[in-house]
Amino acid sequence: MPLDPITTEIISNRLREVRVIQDVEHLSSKL
Amino acid sequence: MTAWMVGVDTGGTFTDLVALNRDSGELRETKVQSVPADPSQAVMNALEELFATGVNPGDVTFFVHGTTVATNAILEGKGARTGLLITRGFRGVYEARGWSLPSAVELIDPFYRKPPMLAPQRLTEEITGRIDFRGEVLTELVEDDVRRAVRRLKTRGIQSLAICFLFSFLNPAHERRAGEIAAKEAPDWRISLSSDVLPIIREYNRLSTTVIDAYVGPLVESHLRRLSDRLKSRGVTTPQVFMMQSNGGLTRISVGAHYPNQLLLSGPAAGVIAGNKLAASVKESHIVTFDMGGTSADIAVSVDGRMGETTTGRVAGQDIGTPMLKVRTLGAGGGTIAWIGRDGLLKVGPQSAGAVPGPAAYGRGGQAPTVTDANLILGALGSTSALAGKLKLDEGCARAALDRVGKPLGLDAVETAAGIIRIVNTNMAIDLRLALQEEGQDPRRFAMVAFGGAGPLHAGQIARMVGIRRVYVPRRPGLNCATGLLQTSVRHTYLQSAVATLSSFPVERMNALFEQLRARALADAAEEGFAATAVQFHFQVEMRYLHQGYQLAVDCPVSFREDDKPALKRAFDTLHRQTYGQSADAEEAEIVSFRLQAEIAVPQFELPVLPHGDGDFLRAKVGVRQLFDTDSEKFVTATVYERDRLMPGDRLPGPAIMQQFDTTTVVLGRQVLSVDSYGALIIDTEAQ
Repeated sequence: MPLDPITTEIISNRLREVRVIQDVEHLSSKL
Repeated sequence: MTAWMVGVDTGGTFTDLVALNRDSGELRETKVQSVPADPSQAVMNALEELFATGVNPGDVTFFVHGTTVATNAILEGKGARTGLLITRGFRGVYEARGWSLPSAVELIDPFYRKPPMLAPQRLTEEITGRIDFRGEVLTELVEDDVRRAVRRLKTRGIQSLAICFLFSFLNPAHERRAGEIAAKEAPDWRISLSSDVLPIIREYNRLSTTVIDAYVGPLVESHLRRLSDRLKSRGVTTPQVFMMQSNGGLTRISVGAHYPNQLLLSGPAAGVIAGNKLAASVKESHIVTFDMGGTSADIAVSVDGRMGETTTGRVAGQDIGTPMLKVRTLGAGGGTIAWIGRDGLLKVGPQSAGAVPGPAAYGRGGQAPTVTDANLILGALGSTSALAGKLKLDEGCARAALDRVGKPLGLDAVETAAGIIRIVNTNMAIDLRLALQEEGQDPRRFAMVAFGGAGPLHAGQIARMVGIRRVYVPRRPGLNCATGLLQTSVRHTYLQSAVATLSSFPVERMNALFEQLRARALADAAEEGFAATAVQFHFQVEMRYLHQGYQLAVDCPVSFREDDKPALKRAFDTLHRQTYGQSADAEEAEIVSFRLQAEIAVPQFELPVLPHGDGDFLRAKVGVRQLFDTDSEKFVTATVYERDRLMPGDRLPGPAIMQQFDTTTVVLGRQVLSVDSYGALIIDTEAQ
């Protein structure tokens, strides 16, 4: 089922958050 | 004669006023539309409403103002045309932005745009002259270079000049001389020297802060002067007229123009103050303040009762090095506009319909659907509940606007409205989580204080999404920032960098540097009309281990002695361990900057304790309304209460809606609401 324009927007916004957290995790794994 | 304390906070949409009678404790409040073209007009309009209730202008004995003049100047690119003088060979420093990369979020944004340079390259001139890292002159200042540059800039019509040379924090001679020459050549310019604005190490932050100072300075000066004159001519003659600063402290209006970059978070800082004051009263030590107004939402985190502070703040994309409260702002408010993006998805914000034309439901010609329109269609707001006590909302206009965006996506008005709320809540929840994660904090340990005209509408849902278990809604959420203006002290922070290892730093020089900062603080206090004895000083040094790039501020005794050094080092080790989880106790530490905070107590508004009621909350019931539940995607029947008729001790179940003149609070199904002794609502969010 194709996603609607609201759910897709929410998922893409949540991906930004995940991306930020991954950055933090990536950095802390280097420390 | 009665004495009134008055706080006026200008926001993007509304200008709020809170007045407290210091003798009787009586509180009066009003809300008027902001006047973006002339903000001081809205301040006067709000005051006129107060005077119309019988308060005499001469009875206003204490006045505080929170302003958005500086912030809007940057956001809208309407500051002064600003030139920049910089050390030869370094014209790229400003443009490179301290090599700061776009943040993670920006990196994956295909439409990312670099923030504009407030002093563009074509208005930047390089000057020969060089001071080295010890503060010694390597190359003499070429004064003719300065004259030629100033004359060129004059032909380009600049109004304000920023001067920032390398290592001027160690030796300001070249900057001062260049400033003198420029002042002689162009007497009508406002000139900002980095060695005055922020004499600290690292040229980019110093430079960026100085450019902001030059860019917003002329506008801030004229706004403050106009406001001052208008107050006087209307009969408000008290010398106790203050501005709220980004650091959460006040400054006398006459001194405000000295530090225009400190006014960038004027309004939001006041909200954080009020939120923390409420939290302290109810003994919550870990809180997030959530301030959602008409244009934006501001989030700030306090841990152990301490408000977060930063020296790497960013407002509207511009970097500021002066210490300020750490507030995260996103474009999400009642007036935030929903639109269809180029990717065909429904977007909410960051643009706002502002005060004019405002949401479509205001019926003032606004065509775009906003968060307020969505809340109206979903029943969170009622068409009979007057927004800000005056505005009636028009459901037909809201529905038409929602259809304009929903139809092309194949959605009806309710589906569109629900989508808008889900998206805007998700966006705010993301920022809230990130704000907590940045501090390494677990949301479950936190309470939220929600305010602003739209905060209490969304707080219950957002807190539940994030995992915050308890939400406090102060008595006057829409006027919380104005209240916060009356809940703090006069505060200035002074900084001076001087780098040396702790062991080799002569204590005489350390004390001399503190003395220098203290002299600046006393000069400001005198200009503000305070006695030297009224000023409380707090000394800190910013330290790091050798070869580290960033420093931490450690408390320091007033008169420093050689045998205080080991204790200072231990304090730094401990702080480093608390902050980063490790310390290097055997390593040598280095002092980077000296920091002095000067604080002067002024009268404050204390939250009154209210009498308990009989617990029969039905006295406040005014009816029922259909409220859309975004979880079950169905309308449910919610009881509507008049907030002002609720009393401490009341406890009632959701779904429920609390109406009051400045905001509406929504309690979702399964959530429970109670009223505490200060009249604040407490929502038990049922977060897992």
